[in-house]
Amino acid sequence: MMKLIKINIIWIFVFVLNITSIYGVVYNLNNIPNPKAIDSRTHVSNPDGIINFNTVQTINKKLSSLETQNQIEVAVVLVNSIGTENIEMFATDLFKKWGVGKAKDNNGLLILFVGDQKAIRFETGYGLEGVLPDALASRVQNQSMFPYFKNGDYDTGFIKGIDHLIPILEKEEFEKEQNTIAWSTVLPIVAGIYVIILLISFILTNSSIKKIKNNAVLRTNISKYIAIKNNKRGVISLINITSIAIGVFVILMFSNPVFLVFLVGIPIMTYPANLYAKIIMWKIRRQPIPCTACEGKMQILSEKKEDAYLKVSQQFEEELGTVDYDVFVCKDCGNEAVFTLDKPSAYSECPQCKTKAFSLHSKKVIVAPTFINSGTERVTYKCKFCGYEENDNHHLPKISRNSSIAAGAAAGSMFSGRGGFGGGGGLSGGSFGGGLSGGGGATGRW
Amino acid sequence: MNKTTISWIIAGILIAIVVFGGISVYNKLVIMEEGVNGQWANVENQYQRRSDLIPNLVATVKGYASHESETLENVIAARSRATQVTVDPEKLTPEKLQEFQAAQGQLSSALGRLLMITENYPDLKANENFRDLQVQLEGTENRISTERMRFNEASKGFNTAIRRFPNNIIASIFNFERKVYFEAEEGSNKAPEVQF
Repeated sequence: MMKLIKINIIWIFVFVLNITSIYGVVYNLNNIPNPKAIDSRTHVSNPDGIINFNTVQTINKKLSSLETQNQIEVAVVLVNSIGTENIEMFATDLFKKWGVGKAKDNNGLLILFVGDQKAIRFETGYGLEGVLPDALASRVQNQSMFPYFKNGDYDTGFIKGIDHLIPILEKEEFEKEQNTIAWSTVLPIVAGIYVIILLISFILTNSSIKKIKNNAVLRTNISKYIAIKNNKRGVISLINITSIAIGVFVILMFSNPVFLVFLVGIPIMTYPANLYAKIIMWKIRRQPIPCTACEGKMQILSEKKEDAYLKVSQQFEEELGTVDYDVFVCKDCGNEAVFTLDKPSAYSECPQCKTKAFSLHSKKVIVAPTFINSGTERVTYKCKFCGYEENDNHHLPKISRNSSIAAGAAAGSMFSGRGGFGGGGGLSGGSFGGGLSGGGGATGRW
Repeated sequence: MNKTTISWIIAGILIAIVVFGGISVYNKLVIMEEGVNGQWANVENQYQRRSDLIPNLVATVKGYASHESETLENVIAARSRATQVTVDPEKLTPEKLQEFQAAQGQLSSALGRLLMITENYPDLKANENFRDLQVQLEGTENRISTERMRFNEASKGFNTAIRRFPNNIIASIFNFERKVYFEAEEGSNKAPEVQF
């Protein structure tokens, strides 16, 4: 048992030795901590603590303000060892892996300090090669950093180096990335979709109108009118709802929420078909019908003329807007036909005179409900045509305390739940802008 | 619609799919090929940058080490030979690439020898201009190796794309050819000899 443990300890020791050097962990491209991964405002990765906390904070502040003003991304990495890797190739690969600098401008700078090689490299992105040529980068290292590095004072060396670099980098300003929307490609697509919706709505309404016209079951104009109306409503709503639902899903999943504004156009594009159907409905309703008495045709009368053929109650109903009557008269034989169209309304048929003018007239509380007793209210219905009244007593339940408290509590919890989301926002991590370097820069050894 | 119409419609849709698919593959291959050509231009660019640094370097060294004329002349001669070998990316055959690499390789060796010799002249090494040139040469060497690596990556991507099915059909119809790779130079693993 002891032998096993001893052997295992030896292997563990060997393993650990392999991955550490005298200075600690040997870093490779994968385990070097990316400063942006912790917090979008950190620029310094200092896992071996080569410089102290205050220096890190100072450098972070300076580089953050540089990034805010000039869009230039600078990353500073200090490690004791990268093993046997060549510092130039390592820096180029790390730069590419992290994508330092904005993708559009490639304006990134990576500062890599490797302790056991006593080397520091500035790797410049393609876009900074003009403002920070290799010779100048080398000069910054020699003049501002190495005098301090030689004495082991890395903190001052770095601060002086950064202070020397920033005015150089500030000379070049890069434009802030605009989240530009390519309107020239988007608008034709949207227009095309609108046209498709328009065409589909016409095709579908037209086909349902044809079906109704040919439907032998619907004898009267009005029944056809009602059929078209219902069908049209169904078809148009279906097209609107499906298009909008698909549109919301696609826009939120695949692109900019700004595009949601285009959904407003969908009901507008279905409206022409709607209007077309309305016109057909109107025409069908008014079209002449074959006379029931003779071989001739019966024509519809205008609203003014038809009153002569309607009862007073019917005229009243038309005025109230609860029922519509169509009167057809045959020119040859004088035959009359009256058709009824019931319209949706709050009024119903009066029990006494059968006129559709009966509705709720008033409500009156006779006995008020309390916490102890229930109450009564009297509801009065009246017919506007003949004046017939009907009364009804309704039971009012007693007021209970719990219901009011419950309602308040429910409302309260709904609003307090929201508070939690706000907190976490600003400090979440991020990544560099996706910039690229060309292998340019300067390596200095002290 | 009868059966004949339906089969015509289906045939038409299938043909459309094939044609549009072919068009998109062709376009993709064109874009990749231009990527390789563009990357070749980057490589040539960096080699040119190195060539441009050399006259200044030679002049600076001459000021301090005038009797090293043989080494200096070798560098100048190698540079002009290297500048003469230009390669058209459209006609980049393995032979042409080898010629190009050989010429640049000779320039690298001549440069290497020159820089070795400067180790003997501390005054020269202290000269600020010389130091700047050294830094720039170093930077350029790194840039050259980076662009070569990216060129190889672009070539590899293109070669893989034209060999895959069904792209290889389109590639052979339109004569897309394999691209070359930069190989390590023969003898580049040996350091140049210096005679004092």
